[in-house]
Amino acid sequence: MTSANGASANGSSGASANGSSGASLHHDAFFYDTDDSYVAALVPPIRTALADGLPVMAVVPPSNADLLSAALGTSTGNVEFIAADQWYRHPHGTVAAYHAVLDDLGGRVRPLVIGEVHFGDTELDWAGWTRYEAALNRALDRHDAHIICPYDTRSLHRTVVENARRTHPHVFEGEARTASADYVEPEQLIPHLPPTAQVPTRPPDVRLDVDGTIREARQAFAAAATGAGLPTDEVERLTIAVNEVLTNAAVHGGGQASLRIWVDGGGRLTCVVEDRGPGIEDPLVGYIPPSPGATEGYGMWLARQLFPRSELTSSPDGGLTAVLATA
Amino acid sequence: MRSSGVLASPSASPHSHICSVFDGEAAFRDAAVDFLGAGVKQGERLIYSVDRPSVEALRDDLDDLDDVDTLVDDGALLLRPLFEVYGSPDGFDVERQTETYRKAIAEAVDDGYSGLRVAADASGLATTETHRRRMLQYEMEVDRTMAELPMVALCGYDRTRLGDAALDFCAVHPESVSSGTDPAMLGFRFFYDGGRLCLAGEIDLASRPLLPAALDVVAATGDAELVLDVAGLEFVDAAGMSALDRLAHEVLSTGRTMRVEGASATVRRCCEILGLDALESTMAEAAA
Repeated sequence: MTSANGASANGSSGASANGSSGASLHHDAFFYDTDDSYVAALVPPIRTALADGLPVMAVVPPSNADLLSAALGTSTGNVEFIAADQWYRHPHGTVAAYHAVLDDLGGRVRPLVIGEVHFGDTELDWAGWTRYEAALNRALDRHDAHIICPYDTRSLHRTVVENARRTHPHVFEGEARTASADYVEPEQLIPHLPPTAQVPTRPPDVRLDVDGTIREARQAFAAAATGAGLPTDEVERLTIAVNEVLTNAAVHGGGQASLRIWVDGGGRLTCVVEDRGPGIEDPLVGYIPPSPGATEGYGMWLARQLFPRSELTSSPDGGLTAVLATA
Repeated sequence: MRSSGVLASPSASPHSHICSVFDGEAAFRDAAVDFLGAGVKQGERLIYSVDRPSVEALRDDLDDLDDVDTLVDDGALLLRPLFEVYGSPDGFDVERQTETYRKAIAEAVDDGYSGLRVAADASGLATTETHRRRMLQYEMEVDRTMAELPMVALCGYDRTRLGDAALDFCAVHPESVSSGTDPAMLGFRFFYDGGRLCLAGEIDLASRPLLPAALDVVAATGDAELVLDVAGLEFVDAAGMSALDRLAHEVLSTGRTMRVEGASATVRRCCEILGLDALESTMAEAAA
C-alpha cells in the first residue's frame, strides 16, 4: 500500500497514511463560495486517493456530486457518492455510521471522506450538527482517515461557518492544510455550544416524580407519546430511550428523578428527566460508542441514537438534566 | 395460551405452575389449604408435599381443609413428605423427578380424576447454591410437562430460609405470587407454551437481579436448537438485551443453534445499535 503523501495536495502535516504506523484522523474544514473553487480544491485529493487505491466516499449534496463527477470523468465510478441529506439525518446515528464504515475497513486502508454536513433548517438542527462536528474529533480518533468537510459560505449561517473553525483542527485549502487557530478540543468546546434541545418554557403536560420503580414513568411516557399520535414503533423506540435515561438516573443519579413531558402538535414531543445526582462530567457521553462487551455507557448511547435530539447538561450544584426531543 | 404473570393470590387456571415466595411456613400452609380446596372442586387428585418428618405432620398442616381425612382415606389427597417424593437434595434427579410426576398424572387420570394438583414447599431442596441451581433447572423441565398434561402446581419457596434467592424461582414459572415483593421485580418469566420456551413480561432495572440465574437455567436446557419465543416480552432494556446476547454467545459457543422469534423490529434495531451481533443473528425477520 503506497502512502497518500506523495502528492502535495494533502499537505504534509505529519500525515500518516499507512494504517499500520499509527492511526491518524485528519478532520479538516474546507470553506468555499464558488463551484470552481469547490472542484479545484477537492478533485486533486480524490484523484490521488484513487490512484493510491484508497476508498473515497463523497457525502455531498447532489449538485456538488454532479460537479465532482463531471470533473472526475471516468474515475467517477470509483467514488462512492452518498446524498448528504440521506447520510446526515441524525447526529448520533451519523457518528455510528462512520464508525461502521471505518471499522469495516479495519485500519487496512486510509479512506478519503468528503463529508459535507447537511445542517438542516433550524437553529436547533445547526446546534446538533455543530456538536457532532466537535464530537467527531474524539469519537473517531482511533481511526485512520482523512475527512474533509466542505462548508458553503454562501448559504450556511454565519455562526455555523464560524463554529467550523472551532470544530476542525485544520482548514483544508487545496494546496495546503493549515492549523485552525480557533480550534478547541471537544471536551472544552461542547459545553459552550448552543443546545440542540431545550426545556420548553410553558408548563409540562405530564409531570411525574420517579422514586423507585421506573415502570410507571415509562408507561406514562408511552401513553403520552401514543396520545401525541406517534406510530407504535416510534413509541416503542422512544420509550426504550427514555427508560435508559430513567435507569441512568436511578443507578447513577441518586435514585430520585422527575419526568416532565410536553406534547406539541404534529407529533412533537419533548421529555425532560432531571435527577439530583453527581451529573455526568464527560460532555461526550452518548457520542462515543461503547466498546464491545462494555457493561456501562451503552444505555446513554442507545438513548441518544433513538431520540432525534438530546442534550445532557450537568448542573454546577449537582444533578443531570436530560432533554430529549423529537423533530 | 397459558396464563402468565404476577398473581395477587395463588389461584390456578389449566396448566398453572405458580411460584409462591412466602415468609414463614404458616403463610404457605394457609395458601396450600385454599389451593388444594379449589382442586377438590376441579375433581383433581391432590398432592401435598412439604419438608415434614411425618405424614401426620402434613395432615396437621391441612387441618383447615374441608373433609381432609375423607380425602386422604379416599386417595384423593396424597400426603408426601418432601424428601420421600423428591429424594434427598443430593440425590435429586431432574429427569427422574419429572418422570415421577408424569406417572402420577397418568395414574390420577386412570383413577377417574381430571388431573393432578400439587402444593409443595420445596425450600428444603434449595438451601445451597448447587441445589438451588438444580431445582431451577427442574422447575423449567417440569414446566415443559405441565404445559401439556393435566397438572397444576403451587411451588413454595420460603424467603425466611432462602433469602432473596427464593425470588430466582419466580423467573422460571409462568405465574408467581409473593406478597411483600414489588411486582416490578418479578417483571419477566420463562415458561413453556405451545411447545416452545417463551420469555414474557418486562426486563428492566427492577427485574434485572433475577436475570443471571434464569439465563443460566435457559443456557443449560440442553436442546440442540434453543427456540425462544419473545412475542410476550413487552419491554426489554439495553442491559437486558446485552444479557440475552451473552446467552446467545454461550449457546452458540457450545455448537448449538438458537432462534429468537417474535422480536419487534425496534428490538432488532437496538441490537444493531448496541452491536449485539450474536443476539441479532438469532432473531428471525418479522412476518410481513
